[in-house]
Amino acid sequence: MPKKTRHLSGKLHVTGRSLFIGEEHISADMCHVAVVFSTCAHGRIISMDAVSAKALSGVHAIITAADIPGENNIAHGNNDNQPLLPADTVMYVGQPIALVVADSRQVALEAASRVTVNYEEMPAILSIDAAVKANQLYVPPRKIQRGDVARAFAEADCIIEGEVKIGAQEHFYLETQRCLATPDEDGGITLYAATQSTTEVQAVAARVLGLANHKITVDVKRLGGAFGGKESQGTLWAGLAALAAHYTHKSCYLELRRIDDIMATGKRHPFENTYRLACSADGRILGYEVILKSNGGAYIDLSLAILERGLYHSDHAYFIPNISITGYACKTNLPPNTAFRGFGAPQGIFPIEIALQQAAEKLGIDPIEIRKRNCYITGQTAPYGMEVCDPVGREMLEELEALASYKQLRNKVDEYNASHQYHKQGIGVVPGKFGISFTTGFLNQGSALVWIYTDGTISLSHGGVEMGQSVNAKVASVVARTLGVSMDRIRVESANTKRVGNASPTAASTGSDINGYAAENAAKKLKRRLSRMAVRYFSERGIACVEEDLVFADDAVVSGDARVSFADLVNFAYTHYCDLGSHGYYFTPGITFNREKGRGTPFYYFVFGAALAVSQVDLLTGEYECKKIYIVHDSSQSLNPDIDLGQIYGAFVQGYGYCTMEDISFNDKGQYLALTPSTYKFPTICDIPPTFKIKLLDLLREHASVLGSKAVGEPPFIYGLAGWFALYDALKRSVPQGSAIDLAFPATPEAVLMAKVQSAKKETV
Amino acid sequence: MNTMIVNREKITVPPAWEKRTLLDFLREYLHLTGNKNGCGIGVCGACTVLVDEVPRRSCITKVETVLGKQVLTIEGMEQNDGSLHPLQQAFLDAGAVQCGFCTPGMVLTSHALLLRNPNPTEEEVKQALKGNLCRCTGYVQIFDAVMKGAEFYRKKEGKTDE
Repeated sequence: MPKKTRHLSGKLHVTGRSLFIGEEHISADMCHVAVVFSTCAHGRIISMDAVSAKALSGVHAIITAADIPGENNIAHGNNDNQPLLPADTVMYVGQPIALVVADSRQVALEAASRVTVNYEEMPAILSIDAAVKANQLYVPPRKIQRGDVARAFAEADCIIEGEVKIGAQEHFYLETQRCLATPDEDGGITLYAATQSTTEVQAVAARVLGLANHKITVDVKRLGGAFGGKESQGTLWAGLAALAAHYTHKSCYLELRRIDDIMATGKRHPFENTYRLACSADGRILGYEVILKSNGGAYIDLSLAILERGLYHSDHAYFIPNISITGYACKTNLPPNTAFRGFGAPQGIFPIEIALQQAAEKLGIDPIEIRKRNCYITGQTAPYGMEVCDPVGREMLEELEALASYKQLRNKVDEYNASHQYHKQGIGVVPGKFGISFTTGFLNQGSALVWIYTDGTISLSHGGVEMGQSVNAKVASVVARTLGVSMDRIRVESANTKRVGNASPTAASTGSDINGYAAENAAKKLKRRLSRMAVRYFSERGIACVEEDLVFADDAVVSGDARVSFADLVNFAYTHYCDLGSHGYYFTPGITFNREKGRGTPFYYFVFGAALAVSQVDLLTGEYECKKIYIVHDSSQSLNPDIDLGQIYGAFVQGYGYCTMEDISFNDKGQYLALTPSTYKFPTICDIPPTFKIKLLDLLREHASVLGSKAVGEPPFIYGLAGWFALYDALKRSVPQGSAIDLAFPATPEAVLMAKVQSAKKETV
Repeated sequence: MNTMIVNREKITVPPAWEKRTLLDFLREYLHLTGNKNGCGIGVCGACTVLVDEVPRRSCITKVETVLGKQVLTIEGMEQNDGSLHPLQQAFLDAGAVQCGFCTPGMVLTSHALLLRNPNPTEEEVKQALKGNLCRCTGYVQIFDAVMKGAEFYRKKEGKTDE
């Protein structure tokens, strides 16, 4: 087996030769676009004065809603109506209301800052509470129910109730939103856009410009991180750049400054959830009732799909016979909240985890034990009626106990706590169960285009966008394995609407599944054609063989003792009129869901795992430190375990940041308060504990994807929640047994200190 | 003289660029786009270059303050024969690269650390790299890469001593 390629662009990245958007395809007369942003959370635009902006030397144009030639609506795949530039009413702080096109970035930014806008302010709704009171919901509440919840509570030995408020999270992709738009000769436009969805950018740019889709080309070589933040939210900026290029007939480049990016783009949805859990005396879940309310922001964006994923993950890894899940998506005057790795699942999962944690305390059961007792077993179905296939949650927790030497670890932590008054250690554990597929069923399709050139090298295009997750290496490895060739024969092209049309967003962890299968199908067609050619090649040389006996391996095709190199066979095939180009297509079978009934099969399979974190809290300051992390992850037969490890490390740390230090509040004017990395804290290398162990379980599961692999992008994000539970546990060890700890989410050092102070106050009362 | 050395090459700086940032000068005038603008306020570390072997945030460094000095960008890290520097290779081998946007700054900051301290402790590596933000990797493999890369600097130092 040849060494697996981890990253096709790795060498380019470490030498600085990799090119990101705005670093190629630039022309000498390229213009720069700056955005005039709304400073008002909700209001009517009374007047706009751009005279002094226009007067600046080097300014070419000021563009407003009136200059949009097509339909002023960038909403995609839903019934909302989100303007590219609002004609009269602004809905959030940071909403683009005009564009300045100028010779240089400096002039464009200076001119944009000179545009003055007067608003007639209107009441702004910012909080979930206010939205619910004003009935500002995107859709009627969604429900999934099973069994008899009232009876379960009537029969329970232990009832846990609570409310959790979960904060937002800023994506902080290192590469801010950007797009380079270049006019084509026929009035079309090519967009080099920072987007996870070439199709959406193409369709929306065409719509706002009043052009046919085929006039818009979208090309994405790579993104400098995305994490969901460029799934739908790249579209606005690409649309604006397209409008500027269409208006000026020049290449136009728009790149957001970091402060503008954080101010103006949507975040992970804040949720406010209430939960009630009914358990038997031995810790079995009898019933669960949860209400999820998300803060969707000013336009619907992906709020419904995100709420749905929250509902589908409210059971998490546990069989709950009687359950009621209700979800609200609230409309507020914040930037439209959006996709972020996990996509509603973390917010749906957290309530059941805190409820189980509290039930364990109340019943005197070990927190891992109570979780093991409730994990799905074979034959059980999720609340929405789908059988939970390959349910290995319990095994994952057992593997985790072994990996972390849990019993000894618990003893050590207890010893530490017994001998320290002002520092306490805690252990947090969460399993993971994450459903794989777009819950919007029709998105579960992929395609790929493979060309074999006459020298035996291969050009591969597929629908996935490379953003650091190495989808290119994974999809290329599928082609390499199918054709028995080495990876260095394969060049993966940029994601481009001309080569792969109608591509689904690279999202929902499905990038390598759907595009890998599509590429496999394309490669299989080529293999069949080449097999016919190989039989002919050998027979012309007096060697009889049949297609079934041919082996494609090590850059050659072999039948018994006969062998032809891949390159020679390809050249033979070409000169004998063999089509060496192939398109492959795949859709995920069986994904259906009835939203009215709350029943269906939203997932193709699940990814399981478990994580444990040990943290130490300074009770006098609230500061804390993560000491140890252990993760067990079920990857089935990974396409590339090295890539999966990188994804797990990265996802865990992002999830850990989310529930601990990442705090993005807004004020009563609807303005985000942390607009830079000096005020928005996310993990640095100093937050990584000295012990960080990951065990990949690579047993082939019955329910998996291409070549027996499983998706990996989002599932490990959930593991990060173990960090919150470690802090919670540490705080619990600092108070008398039975005392409540009210720890906020995110558990910033300030929140940890407040939780300690509040509980101390209660004790003295 | 309004010159500086960039990647071992003498560069004359046009007067109009002296008040601009070093990052803009490198990217727009010299077309060295390896180093990135991640935050524009000198916090994320994606723009890090070395000035006389010391890491500097080029996005908040004025060109005029580095006149007469030696600037090393990521493009200057490769060996004279065009092969990868062992530290770059260590980043690849450790899987320390995902989206690649923070990578140039990470490599250069690590290079500066290892030049002055080829035998760093875990804590010293963390302190040196705490100002370089990465959102993809979770840092573990970056840490491993620096520890692995350090071997080369130790060997090099050994040779100089002989």
